[in-house]
Amino acid sequence: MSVNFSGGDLDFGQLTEVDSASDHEVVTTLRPLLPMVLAATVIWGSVLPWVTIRGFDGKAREYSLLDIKSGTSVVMTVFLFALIGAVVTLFSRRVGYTVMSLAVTALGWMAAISSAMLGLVGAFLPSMSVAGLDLTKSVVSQGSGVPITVIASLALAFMVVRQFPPMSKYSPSTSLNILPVVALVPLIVIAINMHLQWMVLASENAEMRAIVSGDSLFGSQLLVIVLWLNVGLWIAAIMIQRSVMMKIAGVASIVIALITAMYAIFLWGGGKALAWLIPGNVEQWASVDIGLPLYVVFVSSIALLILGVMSFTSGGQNKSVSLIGRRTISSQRVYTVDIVAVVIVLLMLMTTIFKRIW
Amino acid sequence: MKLSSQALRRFVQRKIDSCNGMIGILLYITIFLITMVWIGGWTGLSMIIGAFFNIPMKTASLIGATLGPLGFLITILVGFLEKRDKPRLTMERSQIGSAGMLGNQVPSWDPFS
Repeated sequence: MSVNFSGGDLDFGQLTEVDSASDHEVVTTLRPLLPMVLAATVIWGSVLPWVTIRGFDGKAREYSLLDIKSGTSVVMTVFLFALIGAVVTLFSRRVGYTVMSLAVTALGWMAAISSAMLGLVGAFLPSMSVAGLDLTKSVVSQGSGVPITVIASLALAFMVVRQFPPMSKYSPSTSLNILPVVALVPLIVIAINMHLQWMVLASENAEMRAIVSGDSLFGSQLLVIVLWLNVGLWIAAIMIQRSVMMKIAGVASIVIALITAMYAIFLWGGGKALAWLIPGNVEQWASVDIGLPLYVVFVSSIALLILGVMSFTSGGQNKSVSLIGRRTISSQRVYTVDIVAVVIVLLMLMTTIFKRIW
Repeated sequence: MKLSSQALRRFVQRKIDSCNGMIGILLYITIFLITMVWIGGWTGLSMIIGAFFNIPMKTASLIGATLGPLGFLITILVGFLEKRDKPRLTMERSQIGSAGMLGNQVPSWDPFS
């Protein structure tokens, strides 16, 4: 294995590896900072809440992987394997990234499986209807750590997989289509906010509070499944850079955007539409508070609708960003991937500090 | 009698404590087992599907392991794209037989291969 810098264009902050032992092919690999940060994000996501339980007193209890027995051991095991991958990166980047990705993938799938099992357990809970609202649906829901863990592990996996043939042919490592990446943002925002409280109904004496989350609405379970499928389709569109992939993902996004916008408008507007979505009489409740997540979902769904439509235009399909180029920040030329990695680290730090202060 | 009940209580408490440790170990094994079955299952499925489209085993298994059901979908899509992009050989079975070739082997002397 010999590793040398690509001499032709120094702007390309990549290493060129010639793997003489395996297949003599020349591959390009990204700088190690972003994969390492993504692996750290996955592990950070496991510390964030995976399950939220809302009592009828309006208080929410959140549980992360660390709260269960042997949860710390599980995280430490994954961390150990990710660390081994990081060490291997020093000798062979491709092998190191693969080991790191496989390690954190286990954590990503644990989050996804736990979320799926939560839905399964929720289905077995006896229905507790108050004024026509099935409150059990919003009692147990997915925490914010699940999407972060899953998306970060998928992003790292995507970066690893695209280095291998024939994936490298369909997904050039030098550039990244902007539209699928941007479309993932409102989708993830909707996915997170679907489990938060959209509306709070309180009784006259305020002893009882009914929390209506996106989960409580009719057909929302199916919508969440399609939503995650759409996340997968956009990631597939990043990996397979073909217009047909974008169009398929765009159609799914338009459908999701229209349904979520409809949910938000109907819930906000109330009246007959509300009665149709959440069968029952809402009038007997003393106060109805609309939560911030409802507005966030509405804005995100409008953004998603626009992005879905853009997937059919050539302008939307062809916009791409160079992954391995450099940007000038105060006379310093910094690699784009490193900037992305630093932004992720800053976001993690800011979220942690904000949570501590709050 | 009182002493024996206290001893029994201590004994039960010790058993519960040991069970708690045991539950932790069992839960650890169960969590990893379920995850490994999930990852292994999707790896296998992607490898099987990838084999039909002649996608390298290394790539197909890695796609399946890391991307799960999404990887399975991507394997199928890439497989179809690969199949579409490859030039079709329209050689008759009799010609292949006469040339002494096996399966999908392409003659090395063919300038269009």
